[in-house]
Amino acid sequence: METSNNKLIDETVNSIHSIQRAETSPFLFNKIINRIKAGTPEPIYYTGAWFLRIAFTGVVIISLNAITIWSVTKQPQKQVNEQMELHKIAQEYFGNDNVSSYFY
Amino acid sequence: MLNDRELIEAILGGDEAAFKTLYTMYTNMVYNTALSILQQQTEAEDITQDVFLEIHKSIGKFRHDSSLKTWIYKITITKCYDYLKRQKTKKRFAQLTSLFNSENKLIYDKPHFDHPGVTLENKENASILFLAISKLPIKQQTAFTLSKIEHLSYKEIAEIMNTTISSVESLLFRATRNLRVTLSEYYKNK
Repeated sequence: METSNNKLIDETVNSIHSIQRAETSPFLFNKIINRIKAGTPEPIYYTGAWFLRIAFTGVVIISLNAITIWSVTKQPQKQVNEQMELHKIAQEYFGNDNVSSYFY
Repeated sequence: MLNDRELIEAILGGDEAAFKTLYTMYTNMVYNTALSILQQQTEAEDITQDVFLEIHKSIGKFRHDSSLKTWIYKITITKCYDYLKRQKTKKRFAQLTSLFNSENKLIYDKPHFDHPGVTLENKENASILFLAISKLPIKQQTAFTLSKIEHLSYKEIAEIMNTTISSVESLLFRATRNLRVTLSEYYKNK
């Protein structure tokens, strides 16, 4: 079995010696000349690297937007907290919670 | 008969007959190399077109630090590698989309290669051999093709692949060993 398999393998590998040169189509040269004359630009191939770059840019843009939205929505709460703090201070020291009358 | 320098000068001067001479000299070499690496006739013809377009575009940049034949082989190998990279990307996306494909169909499957230059009695063996060759790492595949099919010397192969002669020897040794392992598995399971 081993010997017959080795024989098959040898035959298969040796079939490489039977390979003759294949000929191209007789119209191939004309196709090339036509492409040269047309000044056909080389096709743009979108490779994996191109898609990765686009995906990375998308992630960065979305992250920046998310951070911006988060910081903008957080501010009003911060302002409310500050207002409450001022009212507290005003009450403690002046017995008056109308803060704005001391500033305007 | 023009030598390489005269031929290049004539092509740079816009001589279409000179370009046709270059084409006639090298087209079978380019086509057969691409055919053995890509194992698809239509793609090999497309790559041949791309190679000669590249030659026409870049021949002014040829520095004569290697022979014209080596330079053309290098362009051919580069174009083949670029094509195979694109095919790999397509296959990866196909696998990704198959996650959403309820039919679970194989989207991309390479057919058995039938080399047009093989005689009838050797077609089956050659087809099996090319299948085994396609499973080799690309550098081993290239070295094997350039040595056994294109009959280039180790020195020429080393120049084309930008490597040393000992690396070429190593690639060929590993390629032959891996082919025998693959073929052994194939015939065991047959």
